[in-house]
Amino acid sequence: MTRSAEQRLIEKAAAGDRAAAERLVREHQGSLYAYMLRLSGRADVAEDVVQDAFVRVLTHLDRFDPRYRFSTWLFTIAKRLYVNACQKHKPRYDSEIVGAWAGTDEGGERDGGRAAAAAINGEVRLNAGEAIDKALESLTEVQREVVLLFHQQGWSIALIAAHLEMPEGTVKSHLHRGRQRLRRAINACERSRSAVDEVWS
Amino acid sequence: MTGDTGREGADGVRAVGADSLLDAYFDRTICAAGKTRLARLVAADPDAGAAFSELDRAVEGLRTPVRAPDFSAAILGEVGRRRGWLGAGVQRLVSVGRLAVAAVLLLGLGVGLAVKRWSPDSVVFSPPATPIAAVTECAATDADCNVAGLRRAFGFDDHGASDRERVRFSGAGVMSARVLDVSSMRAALVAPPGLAPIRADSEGVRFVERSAGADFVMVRFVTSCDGSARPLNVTERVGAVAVASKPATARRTAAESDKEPAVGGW
Repeated sequence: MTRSAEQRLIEKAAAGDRAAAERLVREHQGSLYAYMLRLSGRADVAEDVVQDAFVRVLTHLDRFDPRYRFSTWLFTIAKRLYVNACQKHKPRYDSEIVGAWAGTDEGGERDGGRAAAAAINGEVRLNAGEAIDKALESLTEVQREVVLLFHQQGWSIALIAAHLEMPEGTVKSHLHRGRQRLRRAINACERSRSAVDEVWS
Repeated sequence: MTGDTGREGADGVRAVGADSLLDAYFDRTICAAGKTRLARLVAADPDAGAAFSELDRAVEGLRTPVRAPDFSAAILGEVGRRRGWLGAGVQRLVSVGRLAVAAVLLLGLGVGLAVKRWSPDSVVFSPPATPIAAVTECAATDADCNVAGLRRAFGFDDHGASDRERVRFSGAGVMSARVLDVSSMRAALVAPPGLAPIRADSEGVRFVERSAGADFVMVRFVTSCDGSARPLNVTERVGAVAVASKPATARRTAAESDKEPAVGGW
């Protein structure tokens, strides 16, 4: 959808047009849900956040600044709601594992790999999507956010920097480290799967 | 590649180069020459090739679509409870109404332009030039409105006239006047053109007479600024009162000038 078409939809929805609002929801709910699901690791949190974010956005459409992208506004509100939700109920990601990873950025990468492998120990067979979800657990919160916005949502570095209010260099740094961790975690996951396969065979 | 930190020498340099190329590739900032270099590197170096394929798989995994539930009904229901939606009929009415208003405006403009073309004098899009006399009349009307304010500013009320003292001018007739604290009128006293500015604390300011009717205010004061110690009428200088109160002032001036032959100046 072009920005002008989206702007017309927003204007109609703001004027009380239910069909226009529904099109806006259908246009963005998939990407927002995917983002929140992988950011939180919990489907229930993602569902709550997505619905709350849309309700807030649609009831305050008159405050939307057309100079910005609608999705940026929506994701910003969703992120705030997610932070609030995290304070209420802990997300699935284990902060101890994330902490172990966070302390191994410079020298202990292989220890981090073991921590990720330990995190997935006990899982028998993981499909590719589950492997990604598991691997995302090994990232810090900000790395996960940057990696998802860049690779899943296709946002630019500049847009992410503006969204997260941090310099572009910092965004790149989080992106590079997050990607490397993701790669190692997926490898660890696959090694674990191979080991399980050997045992079963 | 980052994991290969134990490498040294040429291998280490190559690893750093591969890392930066891989980062540029996955950051979507790599140039054409960089792509060529990366392709050669990936083909030649098994470690670089493995790193590339693993990163590529991870990134592709992130892009894998997630099956999302449809939240639209729940969301729109909740929004409807909070702010309400316009019904389809109302929306149609709004749309039709907007179209009708736009059509009427366009039609009106078209008719106006057509009439203007065929009969230029019958349609005037801009107001005609206003004669200066009319502007003066407007100013007089505005000033009328300000008379009451000026009366208050100069301390007049309905019983003010009884407070006046009768003061004899030097060698002249008697007029209704009152010695004032001129400092309270400082802002209003402006010297007529050609005279030095009148200050409330000037030597030459002797007294001021204030008088007012229903539609005028007059201020007089005796000053020696011009060396003649004659009363000056500053009515014209007090805002635009002179315009509004012209008839009344004129009547009063004519009447009083008979009583004040030597003082004059009105």
